[in-house]
Amino acid sequence: MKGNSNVIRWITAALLVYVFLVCSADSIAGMAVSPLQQWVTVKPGKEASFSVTVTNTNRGPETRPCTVSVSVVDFTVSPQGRLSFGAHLKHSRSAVEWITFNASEFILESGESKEIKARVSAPASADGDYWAAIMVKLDNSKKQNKGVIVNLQTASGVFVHVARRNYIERGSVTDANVVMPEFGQEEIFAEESGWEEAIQEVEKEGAFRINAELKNDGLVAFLASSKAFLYSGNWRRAASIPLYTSRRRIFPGHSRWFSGVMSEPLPAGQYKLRVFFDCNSKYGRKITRDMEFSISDELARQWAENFTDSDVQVVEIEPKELNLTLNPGRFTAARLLVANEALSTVCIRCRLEENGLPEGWLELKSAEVTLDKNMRRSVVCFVRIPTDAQPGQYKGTLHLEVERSGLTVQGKSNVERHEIPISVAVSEPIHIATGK
Amino acid sequence: MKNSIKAGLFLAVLCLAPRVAFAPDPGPDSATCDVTVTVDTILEWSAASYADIALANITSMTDTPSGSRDFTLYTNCNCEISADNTVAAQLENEGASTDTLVTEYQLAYDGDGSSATGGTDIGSWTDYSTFLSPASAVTHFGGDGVVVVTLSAQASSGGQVRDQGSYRATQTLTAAWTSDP
Repeated sequence: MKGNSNVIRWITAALLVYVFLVCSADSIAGMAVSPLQQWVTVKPGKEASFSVTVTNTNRGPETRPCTVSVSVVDFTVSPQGRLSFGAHLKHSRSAVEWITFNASEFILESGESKEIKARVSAPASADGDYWAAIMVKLDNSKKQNKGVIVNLQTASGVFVHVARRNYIERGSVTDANVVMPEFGQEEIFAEESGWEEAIQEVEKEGAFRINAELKNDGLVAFLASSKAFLYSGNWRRAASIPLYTSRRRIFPGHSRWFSGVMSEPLPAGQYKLRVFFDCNSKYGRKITRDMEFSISDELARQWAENFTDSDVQVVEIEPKELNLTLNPGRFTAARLLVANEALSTVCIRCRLEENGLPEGWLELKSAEVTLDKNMRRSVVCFVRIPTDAQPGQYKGTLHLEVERSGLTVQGKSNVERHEIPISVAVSEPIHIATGK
Repeated sequence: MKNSIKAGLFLAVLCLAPRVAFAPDPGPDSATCDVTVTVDTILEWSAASYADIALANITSMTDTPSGSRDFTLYTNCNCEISADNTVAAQLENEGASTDTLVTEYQLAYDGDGSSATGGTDIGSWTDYSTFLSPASAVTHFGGDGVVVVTLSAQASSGGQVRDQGSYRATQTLTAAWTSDP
């Protein structure tokens, strides 16, 4: 009898140890989503298809099956460039009701991948650009009864272009203002929004800021860029300021604030200011807004006294050269990290000089990048080697023209130029070795 | 007649190409083949199954318990992380009471985006209503596809006596595209 109770005790202890070990092991569930955004072109009254792939990547024995839920949600972009998701954000150009797909909730085993096949059905009356997001949520079923439950989700943007005709990008400047630098003042705004906080921070540093809001009045999205010129008497150009925004793509009906900062002091006087917006239109049409302001003698004196930004190199670029070894048929993306270390906004224009590189091998993802102060961005260069490329060493150059905000009077240049050598070594093409 | 033609052809091959006919076994041939593939943008959240943040009990008005959780973000592109700024992210009494606690969050990365994939830490406690507003930018650094994201939460009674009971909040972190090239 005593022996039996001992056995039961040992079995119970072993079970407890087993349960403890299993439960304390940190099991992992993952959810990879690809791609993060895509454009789908569809004709009015027709259908088009696209897909999003979700994968539970196998990261070893601790990887557990995960439950994934997928939904189509509306999203909007605020004038400050912030994305918001949810059913309550339904709008007139929503593509949510046009999108159907083959799975809404499923379990992915470790290492399993699922392609969510979706269809877009555009009504016959559709015209221009519409949008929605595929929201993929990693289900957190182990909920505790107190504390903070954390849900993780990934949004994949779907932009639907209903190609009915050729479209003209239409935009208008709905608001614009300038903010003068102020010195020795701790708090200027009491608002809590991120945008106001950003303005407040700059003003404490004593910088001139211009804000302008661009609205898309057309039917298709466009990529906008902006720049402001300051003119003294007789429209003599005194300064230039690139304007930055967090999201350059502006959807129909949306508006976006652009902002430019200049720390270099302006002399006292009357100024005219013209803001230019380029909507990437093939017709080259620009949108402008004019304003006037003045700098008092006292402000000019304080500004000059507080100015500390000397003419140093404004951007840091890494790496200093691109060396690639690629096989014929290879397609890859090379990246440069550009960091703005100035207190002012900068605009970086990129240009490829292919030199010994055959045409079409290199392509810039974007020819122009604007950076806010203390901001970093990647300049992406796609490299596509044809399958019939001859082996050898090919060389090219990436030219970066960095224009910072600042005075342009008396022949002063706000532009610094960088050259990034590109070297592409193409390896031997496909061959079959002969036997000895 | 046919047989004589075949024999003639055989003799012709032997005479004209003896090296082929009597060549030794060439052995295994090697072949090289280039394989190319295009990698699309990928973003992966990875987390422990128990990915909730437990907070210690509040036993005095001055207590500010906090806790944190690590999540791994695998990415090959720039992205941004935003948080839920609705009342769902505020600690609320689970019982009959609807009392709430001051709920604040922080976010940290193990890379800053300049030498490794990551972003700028939100190092000060930020109220749930403004946390990650605007969204936190994650900069992808070439060759580094992993960043550990640490979410911290802190509760406090804000100098008031709050109703007793369990308080719970749900914070949702959303990773999304950065739209511009």
